Amino acid sequence: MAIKVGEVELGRPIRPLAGTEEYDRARLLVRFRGRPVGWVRLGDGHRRVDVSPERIREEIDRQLASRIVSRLLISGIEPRWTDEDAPKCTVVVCTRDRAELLQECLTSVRALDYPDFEVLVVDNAPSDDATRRLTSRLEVRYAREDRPGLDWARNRGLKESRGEIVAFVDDDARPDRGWLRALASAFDHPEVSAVSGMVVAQELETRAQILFEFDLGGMTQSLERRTIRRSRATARDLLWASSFAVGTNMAYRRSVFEGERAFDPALDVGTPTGSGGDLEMCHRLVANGHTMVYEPAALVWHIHRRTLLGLQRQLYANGTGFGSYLLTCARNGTVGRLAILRFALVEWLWGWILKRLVRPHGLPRRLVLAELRGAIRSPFAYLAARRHVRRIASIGEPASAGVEPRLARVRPELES
Amino acid sequence: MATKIVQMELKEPTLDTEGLEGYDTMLVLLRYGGRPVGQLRVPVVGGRVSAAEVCDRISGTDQWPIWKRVVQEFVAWEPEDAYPGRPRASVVVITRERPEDLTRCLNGLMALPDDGQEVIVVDNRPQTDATVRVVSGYGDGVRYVREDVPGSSAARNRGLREARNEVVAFIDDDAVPDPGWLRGLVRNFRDPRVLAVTGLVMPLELETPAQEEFETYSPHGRGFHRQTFSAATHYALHVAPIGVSANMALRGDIIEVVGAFDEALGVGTPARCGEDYELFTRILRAGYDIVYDPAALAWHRHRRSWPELRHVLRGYGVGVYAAWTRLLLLEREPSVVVMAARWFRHKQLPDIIAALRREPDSPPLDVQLEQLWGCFLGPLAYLRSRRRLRRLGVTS
Amino acid sequence: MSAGPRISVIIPTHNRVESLLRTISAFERQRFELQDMELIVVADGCTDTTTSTLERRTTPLDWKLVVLDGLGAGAARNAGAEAATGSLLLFMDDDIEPAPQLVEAHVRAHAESPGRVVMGPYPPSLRGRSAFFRMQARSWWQSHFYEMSKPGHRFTYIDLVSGNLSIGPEVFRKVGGFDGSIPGAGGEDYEFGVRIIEAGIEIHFEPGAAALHHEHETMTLDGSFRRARQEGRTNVAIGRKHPRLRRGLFWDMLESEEAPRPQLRYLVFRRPALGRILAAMARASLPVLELLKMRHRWRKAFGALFGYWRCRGVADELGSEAALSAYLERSPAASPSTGEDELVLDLAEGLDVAERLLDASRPRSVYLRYGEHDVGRIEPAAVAEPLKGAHLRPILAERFPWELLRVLALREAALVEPRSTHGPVI
Repeated sequence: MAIKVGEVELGRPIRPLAGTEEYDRARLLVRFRGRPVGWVRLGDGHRRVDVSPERIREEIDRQLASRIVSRLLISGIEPRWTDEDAPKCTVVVCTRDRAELLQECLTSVRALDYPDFEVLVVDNAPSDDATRRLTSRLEVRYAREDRPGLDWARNRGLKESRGEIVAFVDDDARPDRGWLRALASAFDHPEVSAVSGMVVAQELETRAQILFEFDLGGMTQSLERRTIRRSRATARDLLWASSFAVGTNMAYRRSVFEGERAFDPALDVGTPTGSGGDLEMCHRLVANGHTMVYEPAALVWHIHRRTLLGLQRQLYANGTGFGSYLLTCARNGTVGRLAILRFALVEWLWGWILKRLVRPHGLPRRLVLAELRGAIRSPFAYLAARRHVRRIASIGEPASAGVEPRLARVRPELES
Repeated sequence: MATKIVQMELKEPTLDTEGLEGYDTMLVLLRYGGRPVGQLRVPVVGGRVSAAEVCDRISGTDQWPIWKRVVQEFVAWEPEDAYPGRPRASVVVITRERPEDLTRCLNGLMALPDDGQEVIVVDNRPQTDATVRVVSGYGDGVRYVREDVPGSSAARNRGLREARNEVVAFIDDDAVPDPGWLRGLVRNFRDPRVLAVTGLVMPLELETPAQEEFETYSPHGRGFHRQTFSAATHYALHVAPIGVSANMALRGDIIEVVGAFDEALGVGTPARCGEDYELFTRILRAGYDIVYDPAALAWHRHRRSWPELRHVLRGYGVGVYAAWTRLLLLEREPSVVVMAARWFRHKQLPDIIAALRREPDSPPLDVQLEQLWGCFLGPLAYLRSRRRLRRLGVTS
Repeated sequence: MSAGPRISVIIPTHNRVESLLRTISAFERQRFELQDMELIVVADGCTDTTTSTLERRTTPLDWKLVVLDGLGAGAARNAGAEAATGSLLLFMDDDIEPAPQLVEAHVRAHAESPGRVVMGPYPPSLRGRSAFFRMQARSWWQSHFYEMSKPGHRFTYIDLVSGNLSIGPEVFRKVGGFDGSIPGAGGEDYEFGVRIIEAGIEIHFEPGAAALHHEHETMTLDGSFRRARQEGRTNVAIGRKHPRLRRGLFWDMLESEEAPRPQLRYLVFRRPALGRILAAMARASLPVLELLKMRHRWRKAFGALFGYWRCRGVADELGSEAALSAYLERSPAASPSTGEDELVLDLAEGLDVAERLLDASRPRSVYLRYGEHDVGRIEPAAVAEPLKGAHLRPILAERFPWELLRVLALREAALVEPRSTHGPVI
């Protein structure tokens, strides 16, 4: 049942894929001059998949011909990259007690093909110094943020960065060699404040991973580049921030935070809300008039949760996180509250969760239920997280102008 | 705010990004080997456009016209151009007291490749000699004809009678032909079933809100696919998708085959316009074909002020209903009533409701109401126009 | 002074004396030496004043009259050819009026390349608005000639119409002339076309040999349906002589899901009485639909009736449905085996090279490639002239645009050498 994942570059001779003895299906990302063109599926699930170069070419021809034609049409107009304009970038990896996973991530990060960048690891409330030792061995910058919570760590990363562009990648992901180059080229236009990229499954070995990637929408998988602006977006587009924002692969122009608040520490991993900090940040930027670009050429490979239990937990966290994110939007007033309510009920609860409870189409119901449970719990999680923030904001470093999150105004009626 | 209009040749793609200050959108006409193949709009922010966004828009647009040209160039064969010999054309420009526009148009016509065409300017009921003076500046290259019966139909009919060549091409005096315009029209006349050809019209400029609104609400262009309309496959009364008379060509003997333009319709008559609409239906109903060819590109300067926009759109309402009145009373086509009902129910009414609800991108209410009022005035306007013609002693 | 007339103009005629006189007058006005022409009128079963009027009339042309008993257009033409003494046979129908340069154009076309068959256009003279069926017929004829005049048109047997056609007498004899056993008029020229193509004779369309067809004068709506019935009968006869063509001729009556109107077969063979009633109703509806200007519905009704009468013609000849099934079954595979005579063309070597190869080998089918990519196959067509260079570009542009585009794109993609901005992480 496992699917072998690989990639192919059209401009180069296709090498036969290694390690395919145990697989009866394969999924290859086809790229042209580094830009993703589409996916090619091989194998019928009954016998060992044939991944010879001829077969791959044939299938590319059959499945992706129109996309390739389309891509070639614009290849002359695509902006060309030159090293001279390369802005300095800081790659921030936030981590907590996952030194082995971090090591693999850092190996890819240090192999990035980009003329001017630094790597900063933010160690979030660590229980030992394994991470510190790793970073000193690998000679990357190290910062420690004792307040537990991914968004606290991200804000710390923002504060400590020295580059013009701050790019975030999760410790369980591996960026493609051209990742920074693609991100930076998207920032070429001064109007652009934030860029997110494509996140793709690095392996499809277990059922949980396959379910997540194909039936649950995975992470950002769209192959089409998009520019997101408030003037052209409806409330619905703005609220479905998960279509253009993903924490595993996002970058910001550091100067944006002189005028905008940073990540909301009530949200995301390490807090009761479990996720949503990335969504809220990107949504808020666009809602406040900034331009965001989704650039699929900025590609990151991610290892999805391997077990069904792990996936279930993640979906629960997605439920609490998304609900908390919507509540944060309502609080901040980025979108009309009635529109948020309508969105939450019609698009999210019914359209995304309940409809799939009714007709799962092969998805185990308990996974959908997990997200529903998270959704139901989200208001409570949100309140708990806000309380938590107020408590730990008092510990830790004093605020420095602009980067530290200003304490959110407390609304009396939501106080318990 | 305004839209800047630029062109991009896909074979040697460069994007001209100069002079974008003051514009909030850029309209790009895509060409392949000189042929128009598509268009897109990109936002302009801070005087800049993003090349990446232009690429995205191209990826998102209908690429089939581009692909078709790529293949045709590779094979070096195109059905319309494969036949030997090219029919000769007479270009007719009807005009009235618009010397600057006319000059611009004639300059464009003089720059066309010489395929043996003649250029005729029909001056319709002039009050001054402005047109005469403009035309005299072109010497033998342009022939001057004066037509005193008022109305664009009478002027066009005069042009048809004065023309010496087998194809008669019309272009409005406020339009400018593209270098490939005339050949783009003429090449479609080799098919004997074709009696008329219409072409693509792009806006020359979109500087004022009225021009932008005109292009959004009632654009002259009909897309980038070459299409043949025939009564066999197309509802003969539904000619709105076919094109406009600002850019069209007719076979020189059309008057003997289906008759001339109805002189009770058209600009300068109480019926305001609609003469092209009515002639197109007559062509289809007589069993002939009309071709829309985007290779025949002309650039049209829309009216700049808002009152002029309203005036023009009221004129459309009057003209269409006047044409339908003729169809109902003279040609005995009862289904125009059904068409009128459908137009109201499916386009006019929803647009009005959208405007009342202040939906974004809905056409402005005052413009719509003008057109509706024009529709109401249409039938009587036609009858008045016919009476006027009888008084002038002209039969139609 | 040449030894005997060069051009024999053969006009089969049947009860159309006015039209015939108009045609003869047009020949008298030809821009061609009248002494070098002879005129042969074949009066086939004429019950009007044709023979008497001709005999009384004076003409500068050297002319003969052949009288037959109503044997049909094919036999009439054969008889005319028999009586001819010229070195070129020019067949013209009696409702076709030649333009003054027509004979000259035919002669020139034969001088360019002897041993060919030359056809000229004769679009309908009808202009402007008319009855629906007349406008439809006019459109059909105009598109027929327009298609044939296209450079690179590949001729098939149904292109051959004999209203304005010239051929050398030896070639005519070699091919066996028209099939005289086919009665009436309609279809005998298609059958002739089959033999012309199979004999490898070149078909040439000469736009300069223009004429006008005054068919609307004698055409009626019921006449169209009579003609449809005749076409059905003739198709059966053609199929009997050339079994290969059967499935193609009766594609709309095959017992398959693709057959567009299986109801016709049902109505004609199994419920003939019901079929007759429905046909009468459809026929009565046509003028009403036309009055109401319901063009689309009129077209559908007309099309259905036309198909019905063709099917009736088939039933006339074959009798029963069982016979039809047996008749169709005995049709060998439509296309000959693909292996033999198929040319493989690599377009990457250049289209000019490919055209020259086609002209040299004149294959029946071609396999197209572009480098190592497949483009497609030009299938052998039932009865069509073998492929030549001029056919290549139109076929590529019309039938393989997407395949070519795909292949060009893949080739160009493969030629790109990107800088190594990325590498497989996995």
